[in-house]
Amino acid sequence: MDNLLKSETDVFSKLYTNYRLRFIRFAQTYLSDASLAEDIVMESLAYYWEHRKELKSDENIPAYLLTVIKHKCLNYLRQARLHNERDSLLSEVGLWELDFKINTLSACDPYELYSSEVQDIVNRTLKKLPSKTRRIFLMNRYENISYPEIAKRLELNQKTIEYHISKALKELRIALKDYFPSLIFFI
Amino acid sequence: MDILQLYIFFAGKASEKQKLAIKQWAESSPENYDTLCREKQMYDAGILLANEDLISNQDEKTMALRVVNYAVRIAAIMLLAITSFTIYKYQALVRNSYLMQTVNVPAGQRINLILADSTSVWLNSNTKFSYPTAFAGNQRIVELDGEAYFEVSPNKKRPFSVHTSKGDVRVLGTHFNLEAYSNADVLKTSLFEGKVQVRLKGNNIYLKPDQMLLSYTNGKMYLKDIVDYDQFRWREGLICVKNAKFKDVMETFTKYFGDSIVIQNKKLEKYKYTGKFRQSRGILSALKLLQRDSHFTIEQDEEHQIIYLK
Repeated sequence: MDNLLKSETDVFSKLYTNYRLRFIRFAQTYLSDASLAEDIVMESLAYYWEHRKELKSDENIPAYLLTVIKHKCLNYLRQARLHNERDSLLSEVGLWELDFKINTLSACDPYELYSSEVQDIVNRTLKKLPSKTRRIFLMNRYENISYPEIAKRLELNQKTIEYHISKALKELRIALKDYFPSLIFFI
Repeated sequence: MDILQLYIFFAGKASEKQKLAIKQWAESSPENYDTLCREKQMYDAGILLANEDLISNQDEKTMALRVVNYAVRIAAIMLLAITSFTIYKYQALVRNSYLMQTVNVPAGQRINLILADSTSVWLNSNTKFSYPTAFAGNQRIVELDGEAYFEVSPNKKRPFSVHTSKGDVRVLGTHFNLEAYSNADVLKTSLFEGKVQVRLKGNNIYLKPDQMLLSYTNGKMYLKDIVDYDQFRWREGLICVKNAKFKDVMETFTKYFGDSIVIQNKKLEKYKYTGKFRQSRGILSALKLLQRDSHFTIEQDEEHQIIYLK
């Protein structure tokens, strides 16, 4: 393997290992369908690989990748909205939820999120948490394990789990408050 | 609106009812909708920014090596990325149900549960209790078959109700004891602090602190003042009897320990007993204490859980 390809492969491997699961998890919150979320993330990874040589050398690759994923998800959600206008399959609540997802996904800024400052802040905040709190937060948010299941695995009261999650969230909110000012949404 | 409720919604695990509650809250003011959007952004940030190397070693083991089976394009990438495989543990989206959870307390044990709204519930022996892991809507409802002591966290907007096979008890922030074994013929509601409403077959009875309501299946009801607080010391693991007939003491033992007791020695019915027994020592130890004052022998049928007193 020549050196360029090897370094590109390393970059890809790191991306795959570090981001794939969280991207799938992210896509799931918008798409609901787990296998669709996975497909979109895989397609986006493939798209990045195919277009890697076209990117500028200092490109923020996770942000780029997330942008691709964001657009694919938005397309899907907008299609669903159009279908609903034609076929009316969703309940009033379902439609409201779909619009909410479209709004918040549109407002998601991958480059802001993956700016080094924000990444550092989050990592630092999570590192400062007691290890149990951090573990519980990551199990739920990252591995998508439910509260009752975490309680069972760690042999803790579910209320304790909720406490730890709240604690982690509180710390993150305080640390990130400057990055999420009041946003204007087109309702 | 509770942040945890929102997070349930963001995770895609809210019921239609829960979603409706959030929609109504969000639509009631532009600030609420704005808050909702901001919380979603924070929630997404939490997912997207958690760095992989913060996960403990144990978790890394579960994300071991494996070959991803995908379309031709990805297969080509895989050949190139040969230095790093990841075993993909395909996790089906575990449907997390925030529906009722049930706890069964075996004979001879008791537990303390804290519910999602901070209400503390002590459950006695032989008790079955159902509760939602998260309270949604404008009512807090739990189900009881057995005995429980509640310290309900006050919330005027969301009354707390306990449903039993014999009737419902509706409360707003109180401390009370409820005995509602479905195989018994009485519902005993005892209030220590606060206010409760007992609803039985169309009747509503309000209790004041230090009052106890006994309602029997034959329709008779008695509202009394609580005189003996020792009967509620089961939370401390104590079984207390005061001036009780032998038969009643045995019924209490059956309630706490689960064994059926057959009194074959008629002489025992004459006596009355006052005393305290430690639940953790078991039924035999309790019976042996009684043997000191009255003469009887104990024969145990362990297979059928019956004790014969001769």
